[in-house]
Amino acid sequence: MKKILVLFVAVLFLLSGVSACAEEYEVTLILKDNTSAGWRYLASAAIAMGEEIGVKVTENSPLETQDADQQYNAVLDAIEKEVDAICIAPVDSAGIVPALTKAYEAGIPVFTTNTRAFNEGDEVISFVGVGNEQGGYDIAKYMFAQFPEDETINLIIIDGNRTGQTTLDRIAGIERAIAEDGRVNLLDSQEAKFSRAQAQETMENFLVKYDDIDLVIALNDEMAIGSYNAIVAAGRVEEMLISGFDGTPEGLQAVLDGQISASLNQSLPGQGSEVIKAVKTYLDGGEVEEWIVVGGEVCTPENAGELLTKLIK
Amino acid sequence: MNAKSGRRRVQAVLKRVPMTLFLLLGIILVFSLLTGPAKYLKLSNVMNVINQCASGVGILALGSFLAICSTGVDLSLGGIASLSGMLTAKLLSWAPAPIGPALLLVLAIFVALAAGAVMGSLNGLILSRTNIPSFIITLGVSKICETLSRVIAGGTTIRVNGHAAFEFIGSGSLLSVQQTTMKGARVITRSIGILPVSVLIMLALYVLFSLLMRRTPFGTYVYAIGGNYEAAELSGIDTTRTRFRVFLLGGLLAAVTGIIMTSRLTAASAANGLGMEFDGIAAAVVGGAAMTGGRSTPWRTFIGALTISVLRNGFSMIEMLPAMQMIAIGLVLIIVVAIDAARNRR
Repeated sequence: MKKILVLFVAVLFLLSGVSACAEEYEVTLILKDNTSAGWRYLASAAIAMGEEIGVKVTENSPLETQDADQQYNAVLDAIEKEVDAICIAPVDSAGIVPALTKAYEAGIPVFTTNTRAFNEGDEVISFVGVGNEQGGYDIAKYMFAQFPEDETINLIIIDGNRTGQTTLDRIAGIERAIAEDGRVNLLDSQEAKFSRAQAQETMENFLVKYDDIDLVIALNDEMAIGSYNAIVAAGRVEEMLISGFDGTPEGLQAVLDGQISASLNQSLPGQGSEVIKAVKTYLDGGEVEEWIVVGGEVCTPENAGELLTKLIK
Repeated sequence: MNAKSGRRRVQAVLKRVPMTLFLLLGIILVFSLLTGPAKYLKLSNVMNVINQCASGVGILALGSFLAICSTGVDLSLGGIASLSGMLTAKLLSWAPAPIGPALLLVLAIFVALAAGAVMGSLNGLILSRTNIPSFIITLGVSKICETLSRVIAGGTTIRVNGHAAFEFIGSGSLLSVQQTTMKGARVITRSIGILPVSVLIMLALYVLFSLLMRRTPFGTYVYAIGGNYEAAELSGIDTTRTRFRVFLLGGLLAAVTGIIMTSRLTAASAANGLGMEFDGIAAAVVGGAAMTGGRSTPWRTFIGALTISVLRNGFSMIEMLPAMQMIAIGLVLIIVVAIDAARNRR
């Protein structure tokens, strides 16, 4: 039994990766999960930027996606660790507010990235990300323009996760574009939680249900690719166009390969590096904008190659 | 000779102290060495862990313990917590409400508890009428609860705004002290609740269930069923009724967890609570419950729940990668069960 305990302690030491920290500031980064590619791009860019400018970035994201309670606990743990700042992309924009208020009371500045918290006030120093409403509007508008002027567009929306502000904003933007356009007939929309597998399943069902689909707008690239897979399997690629959102390397590659028509560049790595830069500026006593805009351009076959080289370099 | 009998007495006492308690203390020691005792053991972090326990696995674990103790397993606890939490939020966000806020709060809590009781009874009812194993039944009921919760939510988060009395349940404290820390040149004063309402609710429930298990026929029956089902039945114990009550109580405990969770987040989403039943089972098992039933006590389960919360908090304090945390928690679970099995064989 003693041996086991000694072994356990040894393993703990190893896993904790006790490292000397010469960096000036300590920051906890809390993203939405530990399983999807997009968040890894954001995290590695944040950590790389931290190493460059002397900020120690530690990630503590929930393992599974959409775990609001785990994010809440991660914020409280960061407060106890007395970090210098917290950067968070809230899973549940409303549910995270009490935790952010606690951080504010403890004097720890909070930065949101990618997704805003609900009614951001004094608790949040700045938000780094795209205007999701504008992004939703821009991509929808671009996709609608691909169709002849007098043709009805039968639309399917592969929705994200309605507890997050990101989803609500993107949908609001798409709805604004629909209202302006006048040709769009929204057939159906369903949440697929930003997951490729779930989107594929959802799309399979829609393909059985609807004979006439012209356009599929997915709220991220993963879901767009999942939908594409379902459409290929059904042998209906020629019938409809698909759009994604995020501008991840996989998404941009899919645009280049003609699998999906367009995506919206969120610049996830940009969100990661810019938020850490903003933290550093703020902690050094400088001024930061309330909203630091990153990305926002529609990725089309024309510019996807260029964006991709930027991402991969 | 004296020394020998003395040692034997020490051994006898040690055998009665749950092994898990030593494990918990060991883990706390390791974490405080790794984080620095001044940071790890400071009042605000201690309260942080206990709070996380009360609003998470703490209360729900009692339900897992009851089910396991009577040779069953309850996989519906997380689903019921989600549903009850959602109902609370939905009722409290009723606007314009036809009744006053105080009455609305009473109604919301009543409905949430009732939902827990109904779902728990559903488990118990199916269990008593069929031969289906409890994990299948409760898995089905869990899915029903999750779906109901999603339907009520309408796909979004339901926010509870400005209901101070309700927020007090999950975040309030009867007594607070000031903690001052230095942050560079700044002095930061935070008020730390040392008698949090949710923790008091949790402790009260543990006292209640400890009495229930030790002083009432119900407790005796549960242990008897877990010890030997057929013998219990032959000795005239109404096994059907006892198991029905076990699952009914489980539903109620999960409902309390759901209410506290919603109060703490001041919002409910259907995903809240899902999967928590596994933490509950882990807590019960770490506390010493055997899947074959009939063992462990509520207080041992409490130590188990605390161990899970301490592990989660500690790993995030020492900045272990979240994926690695799962390995460590899994290892702890297996080690505890292995040591326990070895001890029993002796």
